Amino acid sequence: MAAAVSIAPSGANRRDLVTARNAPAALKPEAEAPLTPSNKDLHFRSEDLGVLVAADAQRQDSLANASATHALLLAPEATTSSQTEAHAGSRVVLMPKASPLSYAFEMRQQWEGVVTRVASDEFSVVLRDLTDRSGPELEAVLPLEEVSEEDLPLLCEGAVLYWTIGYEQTQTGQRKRVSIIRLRRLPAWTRSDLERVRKRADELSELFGNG
Amino acid sequence: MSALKNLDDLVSIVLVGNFNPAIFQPTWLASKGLIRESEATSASIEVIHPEIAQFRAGWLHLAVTTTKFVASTSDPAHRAPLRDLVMGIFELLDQTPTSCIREDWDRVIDEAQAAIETLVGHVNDRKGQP
Repeated sequence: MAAAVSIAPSGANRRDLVTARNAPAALKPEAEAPLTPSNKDLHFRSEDLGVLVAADAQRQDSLANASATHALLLAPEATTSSQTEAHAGSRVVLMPKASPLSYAFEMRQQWEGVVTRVASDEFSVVLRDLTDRSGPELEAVLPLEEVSEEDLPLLCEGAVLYWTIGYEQTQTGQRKRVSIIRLRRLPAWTRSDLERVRKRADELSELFGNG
Repeated sequence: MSALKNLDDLVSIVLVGNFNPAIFQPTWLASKGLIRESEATSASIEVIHPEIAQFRAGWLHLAVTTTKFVASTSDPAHRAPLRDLVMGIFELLDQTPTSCIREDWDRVIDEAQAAIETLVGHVNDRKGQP
């Protein structure tokens, strides 16, 4: 059965990227072209280089029937001959091309911070430089309006945030200096989590006789 | 003015194991507080299927098959949030069997390419010697 080949569109593994770099000239973008939003999908343009293999023909039939864009991503290790043989007889489909970002970003400075105080219109944060890790810790007071509305509920004492400063370039070529604050997001506590913790606390309280 | 480079900063976190792709949806991530609601509602879903899920939600690109999980971003401002996101997902899916985790950086390729070119140069030099 003919094998179609494609680069994993995430550009995720080293082998794929090296392969893309060594691709025939016809598959490569213009060598001198700047990496702008318009051509930054170059890693995903070489659809003819990787291999996508379905686990079994039946599943592939259902995939093909469901949608033309359905596909299976081959693990990079499946490019070895033994594993290719293991997939012999299966149908091969192309991985859909990953959509590129709609902007380009050049980072100039990034800090990780811990919030130490939140007031009505400002907050304090202790910052650690992620760009130069040998740098000293800094304390800053920032206005609340620097934080996105959706992140405001996460802003409390002890919260972790990332503050990035850099240049953003839109698809139209407009270059902007931007400051991005993003609060760290961890899984929300569910009711069953809280119930489990409460139950465990009761057990410990009983064990140590503080109830 | 220098051109902005996103691709050189592409970062991916890759896990190999046994996954259920159909659950990896932007709305699920938002419901667990791992991405913003606005990122979930504006997400571009490429495919959601029992065999594969692939979508872009703002800075995040996620592709999951039954054996492989790949979360990536080419936005350097979101490298740390990418790590937090993957940690958060697998804190929730703590029963998911995973056998391998890897973080890939495009920059590594540049270094590897340079090393190969240097090696090839040395070999060629030796060939030229009597």
